Amino acid sequence: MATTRHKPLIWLPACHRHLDLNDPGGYSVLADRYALAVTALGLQPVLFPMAEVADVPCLLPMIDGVLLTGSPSNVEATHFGATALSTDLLDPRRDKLTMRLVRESLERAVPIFGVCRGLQEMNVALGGSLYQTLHEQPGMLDHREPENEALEVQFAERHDVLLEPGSQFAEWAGGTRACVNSLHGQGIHRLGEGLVAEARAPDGLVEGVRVDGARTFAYGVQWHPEWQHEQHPFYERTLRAFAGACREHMKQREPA
Amino acid sequence: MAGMGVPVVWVVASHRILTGPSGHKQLYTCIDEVGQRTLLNMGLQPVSYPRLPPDRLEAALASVDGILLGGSDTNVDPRWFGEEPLRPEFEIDAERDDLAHPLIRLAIARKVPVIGFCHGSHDINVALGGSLHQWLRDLPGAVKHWEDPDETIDEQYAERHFVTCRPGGELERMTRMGRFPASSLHSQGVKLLGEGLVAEAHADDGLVEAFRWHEPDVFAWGFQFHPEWGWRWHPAYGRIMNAYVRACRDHHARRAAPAQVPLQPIVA
Repeated sequence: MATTRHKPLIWLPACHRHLDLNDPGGYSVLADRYALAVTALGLQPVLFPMAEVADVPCLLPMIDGVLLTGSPSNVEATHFGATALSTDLLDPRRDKLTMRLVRESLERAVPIFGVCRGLQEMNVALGGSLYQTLHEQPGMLDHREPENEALEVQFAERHDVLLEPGSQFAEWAGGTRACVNSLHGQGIHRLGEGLVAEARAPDGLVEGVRVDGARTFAYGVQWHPEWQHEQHPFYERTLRAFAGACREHMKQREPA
Repeated sequence: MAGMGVPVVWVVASHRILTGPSGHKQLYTCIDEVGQRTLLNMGLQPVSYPRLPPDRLEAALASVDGILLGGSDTNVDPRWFGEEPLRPEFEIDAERDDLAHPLIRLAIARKVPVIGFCHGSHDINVALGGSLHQWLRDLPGAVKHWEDPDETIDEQYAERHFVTCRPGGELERMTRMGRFPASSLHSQGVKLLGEGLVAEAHADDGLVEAFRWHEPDVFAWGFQFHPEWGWRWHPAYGRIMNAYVRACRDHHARRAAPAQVPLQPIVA
């Protein structure tokens, strides 16, 4: 087996939605750009459709990393003691799964990376709370993407983030400032237990976190590093650090 | 239910451009949940490998106990059987075609159980060199094979016409029924059966409704109808799904060595 080269398996928890009203039942869906980014890193994306909380302990030993993707849906506010807005697009099944998946991945030292909704899930799973409509908070920027624009415009860099000196973020960015995209209405309010804020927007919003004391890669970012990462050295280095941790995990999981 | 000791079924996903609430149009990998729920309820673990590179097909196949190809609103690209698409509105899922065809051929060669419903059965037929009617509505015939847009989901998946098993054939043996009603919501359908496939059931207009790979020790079946919908109460559907689950369990028993877990990492 020593000569056999494996690819680390990365679990991307799916979202649940209807394609349109005429479609039967529901669908488990994954935005293709995440699968493309994971593949470009030399990792293999894997979906476990309809996986439930009880499956997490059985499935985690089979995989080498967890990527929590962004989504049009919001984390349901009941998970942090508030009430969902009537305008919220929700995905309760994903919430239920990821709340457990975040905690269990950290306990078992499986590399985990949260993007956008994924960061918010990490925060809420660890006891934090979210602003439900950032743009209605006094003093906060509107972090949403402009409507009815081309994807390139919606995913364009929109604001700076200030990075903690000496942090991995600063190392990936090659400095303490980076410009990032911004496509979200929710955002971190109270920081979850064990999370360290290492990147902030100019309005003070926590946009990048590290899990304190994690035994492997455990980071979350509010922006979308999977978007055109190969043209964006900060995004690319962040993703490569995650991929490196997944490779390391696979070595430990597999007997040599 | 999941994990070690459970047969793993690779569900071949579809790919659709979906619109988000803020007007994003993006490509998504989509997996129909009815098929997944059926697998889970029958004790199988569904898994899917988005964007699998072709050179890892063999290794990924070695990590599973069955292949499931479900339905989809998209059409198999008619260019695979030498025809141009009849209508401009046909949606093609090139990524699914590109994965499904070599995967089906390899799974049959490796004796991994394969089941296809509707579009999935078309995948199997075309992968083995068969061809499809592109738009059944253009054909003369008394059988209605398609749903109406104003029907509810349950109405769409209700039994629409009868199918008749080949007398003395494998489907008759499997279902213990010579004729049963089946769901029907499709616009493509088998025209020329692919090489090595045997027709096992027909609609009253002669359309092939079920077929299998000819070798008896390989479970590779295509169904024009949807046995994954209503398998709990439709006796033929239940027996079809049970036969597939048994084939996956048998494969799992053959594959599982003492030191092996069901889902191995994929070999580069």
